[in-house]
Amino acid sequence: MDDAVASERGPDACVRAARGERDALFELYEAHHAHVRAFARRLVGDEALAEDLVHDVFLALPKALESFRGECSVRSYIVSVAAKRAQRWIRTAARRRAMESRFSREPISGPSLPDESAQRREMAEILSRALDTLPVDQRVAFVLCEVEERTSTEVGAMLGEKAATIRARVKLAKTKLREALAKDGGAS
Amino acid sequence: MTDLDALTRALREEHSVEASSEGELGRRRLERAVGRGKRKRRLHLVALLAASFVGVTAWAGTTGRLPRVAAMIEALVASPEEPRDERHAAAPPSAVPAIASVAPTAIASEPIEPPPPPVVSAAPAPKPTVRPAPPPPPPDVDALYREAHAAHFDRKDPAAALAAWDRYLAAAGPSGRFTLEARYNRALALLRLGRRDEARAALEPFARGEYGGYRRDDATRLVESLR
Repeated sequence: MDDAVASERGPDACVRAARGERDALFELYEAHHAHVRAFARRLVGDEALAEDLVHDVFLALPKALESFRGECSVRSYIVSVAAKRAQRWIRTAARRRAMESRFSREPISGPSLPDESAQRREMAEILSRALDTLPVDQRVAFVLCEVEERTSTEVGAMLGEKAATIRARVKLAKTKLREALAKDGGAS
Repeated sequence: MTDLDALTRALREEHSVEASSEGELGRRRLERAVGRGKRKRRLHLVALLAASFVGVTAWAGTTGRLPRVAAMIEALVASPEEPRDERHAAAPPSAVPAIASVAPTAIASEPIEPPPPPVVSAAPAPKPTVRPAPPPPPPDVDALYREAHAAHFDRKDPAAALAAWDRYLAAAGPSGRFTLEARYNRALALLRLGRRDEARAALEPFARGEYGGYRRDDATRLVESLR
């Protein structure tokens, strides 16, 4: 009940941030950066480039908030800004991964991780490489719906698309991912 | 063999939402970038003003209007004690010395002529015009939102918050930027005032998903608890 009664505190900061108030921008950063960062890492699959994307999103946020009309929550809106600006970083990350796999078929993993963590990281990298085979709109839809477990209605509101369009993109993405993974010999 | 669901789960867990040192580093980076942006804008403004000044001076120099432009600039930056509407009165006695002080060699050899009568002073005084009263300004919806927000969150006064949310909603309309948040917060204000039936009626559209996934789960729990 307490969670349910928690009101939306973000919009006031949005109004002030859109007017160019620095403090409001940092309030929004403190409240939402962790979610935006997690989304950016899942989408881009490269921590350094994801960090650049987060930086870019919050720099562009005051301007982006001018067109915020309350279609979704503030957090979802900021994530949608990240989704719309991600293309450049996705391409760079995909090029980087392609170069890595040209030199070595083995994914580059961190030093001496526990088995479980190492396996999880490896699996995440396999999926990131497979995601590189998708067009950006399908990739974004897949990450928002399947990885972040948002509904197609919510994602549709975030991206300004119909829920049915989002569902179709996710379905196509899954088919292509299965094909890519089968070709790679890593998954079914 | 690993299935797609397992890979998806791995990607989700590998980059989970958690506080990390990147948060603080990212904030510092953002602070630097925002500060740089301000400095850059200030420099652009200064450069623009300097370029304008150089342009005007060059133009005035080639067309022989430099003394007059100098006098105008001097009048503009004159001490604030001087009355502003001096230009409506007769030519001030300081006009000639001002020109002389800018270019003394240029006018020293020439006989000093009385300055031409100021054009502005010859013009008849403008007739007072009666303008129709301007239409009342549209309500500042952002100010209304801030007012409601302060009553709701800072003062925690549900009665004042309810009235303020109503004012915001009336001004912003159904397509207002924060209409959704305002409707939800209004429902909570009703709940805090003990007006359970009205609160339930206000929450039901959220629970039915009429606004997509926005606060749907919370609203559903609240509506169930209000039955």
